[in-house]
Amino acid sequence: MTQRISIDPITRLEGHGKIDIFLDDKGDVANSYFQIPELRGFERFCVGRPVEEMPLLTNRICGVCPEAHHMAAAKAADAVYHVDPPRTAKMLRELLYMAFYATDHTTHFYALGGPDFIMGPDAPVAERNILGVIHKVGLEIGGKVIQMRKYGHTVVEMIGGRKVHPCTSIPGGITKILSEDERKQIEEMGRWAIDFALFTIQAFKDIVLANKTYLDLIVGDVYTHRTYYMGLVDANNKVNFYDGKVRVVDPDGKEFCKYEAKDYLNHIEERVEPWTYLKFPYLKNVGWKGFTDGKDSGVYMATPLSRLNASDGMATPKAQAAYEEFYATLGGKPVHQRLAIHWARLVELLYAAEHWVELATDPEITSPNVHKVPTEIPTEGVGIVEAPRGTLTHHYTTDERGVLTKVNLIVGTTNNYAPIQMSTNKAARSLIKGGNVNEGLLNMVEMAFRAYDPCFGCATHSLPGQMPLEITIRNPDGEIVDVLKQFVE
Amino acid sequence: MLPVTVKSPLSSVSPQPSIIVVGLGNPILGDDGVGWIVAEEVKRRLDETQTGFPQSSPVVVECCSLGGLSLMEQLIGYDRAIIVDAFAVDQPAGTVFTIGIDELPDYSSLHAASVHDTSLQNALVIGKTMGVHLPEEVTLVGVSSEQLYEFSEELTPNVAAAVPQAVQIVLNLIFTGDTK
Repeated sequence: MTQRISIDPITRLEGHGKIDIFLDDKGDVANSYFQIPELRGFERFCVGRPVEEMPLLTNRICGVCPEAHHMAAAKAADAVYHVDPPRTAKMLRELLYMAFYATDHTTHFYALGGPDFIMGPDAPVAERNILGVIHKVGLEIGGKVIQMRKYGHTVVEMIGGRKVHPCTSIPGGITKILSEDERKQIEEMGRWAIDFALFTIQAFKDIVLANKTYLDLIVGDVYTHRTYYMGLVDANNKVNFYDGKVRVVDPDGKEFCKYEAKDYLNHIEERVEPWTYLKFPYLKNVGWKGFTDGKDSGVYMATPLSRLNASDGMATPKAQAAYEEFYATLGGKPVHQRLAIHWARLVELLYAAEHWVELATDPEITSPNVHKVPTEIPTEGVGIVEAPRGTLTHHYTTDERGVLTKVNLIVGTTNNYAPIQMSTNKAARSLIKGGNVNEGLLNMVEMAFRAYDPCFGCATHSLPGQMPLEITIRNPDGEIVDVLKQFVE
Repeated sequence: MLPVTVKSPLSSVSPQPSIIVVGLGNPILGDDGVGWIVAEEVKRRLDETQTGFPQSSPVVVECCSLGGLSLMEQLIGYDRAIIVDAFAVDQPAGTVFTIGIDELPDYSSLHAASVHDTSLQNALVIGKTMGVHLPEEVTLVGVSSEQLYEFSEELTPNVAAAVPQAVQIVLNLIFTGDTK
């Protein structure tokens, strides 16, 4: 009989991921609880501030995608003031965003997710990082990654007005016009980015897909979950990172719902569990059935893979070809294998680069018409964008002066709390049987977690293979039977 | 009376090493903002005194919220780097200490590495492998705290009290290469 044990939510961040696994009488996994630390008090911090501060303030929630928060905040502030920015302003925001996306996806692939694959599953831990990748693929790769990052940062600064943390958006548009000289530079960098994206996809096909061990891992069952998938789509149901409607498809790939930002609360609800401060969003109109797969469970995922699954294709030609190859190789839509997220990310990288050039060559991109002064009384608004890690929602309520009275954010990773729980649980179950813990547990769990590229990593300091992680395994009486640690003092 | 020239002890070393001081952290995340506050005070003191720094070797002070590769990219072109950051270690809040980047043992500098990126140590190796000019010497000045996960623009009292000490240590490192 399994005893009830209470787990207190972690009150002090210990700097590492913490999983508690409970065994049943047979020594198999009964339950596991993966605790992810959370930053707290943001709503309280914002109340009383003018809403136009939010594109600057929310930059600082998370050091990883300040650009994403800036965009969601900008759109939410527009919505609060009931103002629609001029076309050029929206294009410039989106252009900045494409450059950011290209940089972020590149960095993730080469520095973070890629090493898990490129080095091979049997490579020593010490080699499973970007240095190992450089030595294996060639020195020039490191140079290209740095170059891509440099271009991305340059575009963000040119349009956004500041390195990394853009400050250009205000309600009604932006504050900086693009010069023709800047435009030319941005176009040139974008064309380089397209070539780099194509190179990266080819490298992935040559190194990863050609490696049977990895292909088996990608398509295998241990990292597979059949859930709902969410992503922003444009009017043609093609993937869009900056604007559009939120579309959700069911585990069979059929459209389940499609809604505008302002209606998100009709579709998403958050579930509270006693063992963590985090809440678990789920689809309201399906209902919460626990941490399980399937059409009857309201659990959904929001990641690059989800975006591809939730769409009917990519809006640019080379990315569309990559999208078709992706699904043809993996056996059709939707794809449920979580490790395919890494490949989906590369399809998106290509789209970001192509769309970067499309925007940079639009005749209106250098127009001076970049701001429309709001005239209506501010009330309430929602801004939704796709952060690289998932759908990002900013919801603000203000008084009649535009001073915030309420703030609600659902960040990219929050959408995935339940899927992350399920993935790590499944990894644990496959490796703990009859009380025997397979040594590969730590690595398998880390790979499960890493595919989601979570925002608030359990450690803000981890390389692939070096994520500080502590797994505590308890028998049915709650007594600790084993503790596995990596990189924890 | 002979004219008195104030010279930096470093002026006898030729050429002058260029130095960057980086305040790391998030200024709206409570004690996580201590790196910025220390760096800003260092800058103010340097601007004020203008002591012994020939034009050819200014000390640059930056504040940023970056880790890994992005942080490495900020250090390009400098000979020495001093990074000020909040640390989550088992010390009383407001303890100030110094550590070389190569000695960083327990991943407790919250911004020298990132789960989305790579550790600063690795990023420095990558940069050097690419032939980029990076500091030979990277020193971290840490201030310990526990209040790093709640949004606030204020430092807690113990951490605020540690700021002058941290500032002095950074200035000592700049002028003498030592913490004293």
